Amino acid sequence: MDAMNYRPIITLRGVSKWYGDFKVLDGITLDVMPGEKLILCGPSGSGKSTTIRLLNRLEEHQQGTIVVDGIELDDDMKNIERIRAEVGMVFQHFNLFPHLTVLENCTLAPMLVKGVAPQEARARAMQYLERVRIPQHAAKYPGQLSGGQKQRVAIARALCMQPKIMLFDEPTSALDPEMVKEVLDTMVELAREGMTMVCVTHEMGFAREVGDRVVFMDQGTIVESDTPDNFFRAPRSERAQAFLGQILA
Amino acid sequence: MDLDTLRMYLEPLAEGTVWTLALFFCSAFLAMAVGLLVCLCRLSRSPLLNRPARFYIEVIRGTPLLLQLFYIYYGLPELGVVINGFVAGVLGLTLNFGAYLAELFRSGIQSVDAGQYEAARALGLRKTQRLRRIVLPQALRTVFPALGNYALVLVKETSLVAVISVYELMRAGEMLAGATFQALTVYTLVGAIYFVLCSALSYFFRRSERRLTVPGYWSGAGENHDITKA
Repeated sequence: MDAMNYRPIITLRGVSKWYGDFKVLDGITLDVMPGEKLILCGPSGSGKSTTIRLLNRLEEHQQGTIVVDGIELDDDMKNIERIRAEVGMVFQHFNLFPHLTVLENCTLAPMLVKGVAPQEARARAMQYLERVRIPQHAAKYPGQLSGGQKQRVAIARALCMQPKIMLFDEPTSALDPEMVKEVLDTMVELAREGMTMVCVTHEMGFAREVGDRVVFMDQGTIVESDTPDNFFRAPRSERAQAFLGQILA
Repeated sequence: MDLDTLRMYLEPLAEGTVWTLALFFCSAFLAMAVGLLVCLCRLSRSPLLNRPARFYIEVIRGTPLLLQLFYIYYGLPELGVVINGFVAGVLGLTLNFGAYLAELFRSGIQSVDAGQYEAARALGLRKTQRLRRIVLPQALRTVFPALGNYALVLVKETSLVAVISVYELMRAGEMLAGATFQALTVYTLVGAIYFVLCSALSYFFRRSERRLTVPGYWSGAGENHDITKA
């Protein structure tokens, strides 16, 4: 694949993290190439969400180095702000701003963080809302939307910052079953456009369709890393076999 | 009752009302500012900020407003700080309500979902932007009905400053009742004026609450909040 000719856009080297005495991440080393679609999966408490949240410094690591788009993440707020402007994130529980309209949700950060003029921010927001097929709801408030619509707005909101990387933290886990597809379809489209994506998800159909690589984590370590086909068909480790046995059951 | 008598009654009461309103508006705005500032200190992780904030809140809430007014008006002059009655009244009411509002604002801020902070951080909003654009607008909507409550209480508590000889509605009534020996009439009028002021304020808060309402959130007495429903 061409993408492999580039230098990694995300690099983790020996990254460890503790909550008090409890070690949640133990020496994570991982590269993500530009345009790569990486799937993170693993049992609850394995550290997959923590790992993804390190990438835009929602959580801090205590050991090792993390470099995102050429910038090393440390306590320097300037660096953190630069990274956050480049990295979009979509959450399990949407986290839309309930007191703002859909359009305002999408224009707020570009205006405040990137200094985009209001008119241009609105035009850009409408463009992305059309891409997630929800422009007709621009004037509504999040409280008036279904879960699937909310999550599509959340994706549009992140895209309005025109990020280089998109992080998805279990984006379909809080959705009613009939709404999972509309969100996954949006993500598939985004993947086809070449976005670098790191997704924590258990949606195997999605992982197989767009994933370049699956990283399986357990107890704060990376246990297995393989193509989706290999991983889902023939997981090598016992822990991955047990995990897949459970989610497939 | 002839016109002169009417004027004799109404003139001092009108003047008193103006001073009551002045006390109310000055104390209300200052108390909001103090409350917000103390609340942010109270929520700060730095003990240098949160300890004094905690101390202030506890002391104010643990002593009577009347005593606080006496302390400022009669006590401070012994330390060489002499302030006029109106300023002492505003200061006392501000410090007193500031403490209660600080705790009210804290409850509002802490009710904002942690996911809101996360989303705002992930989008790159800075601390003050997160506070001003995301947290405070939501916190304000949550505490708004209770804020209206405090405003009504404040209107009536301004009457306490009469005892440090500040001229306002209650004091005007007192003087008028003493001069006319018509306590019943005078205090009925005074009561009616307080009632009208409170009703107007209450109406203002009801209207504002409707304006702040967002569909699906802070919807007030919506269908989903009908506790009598089976």
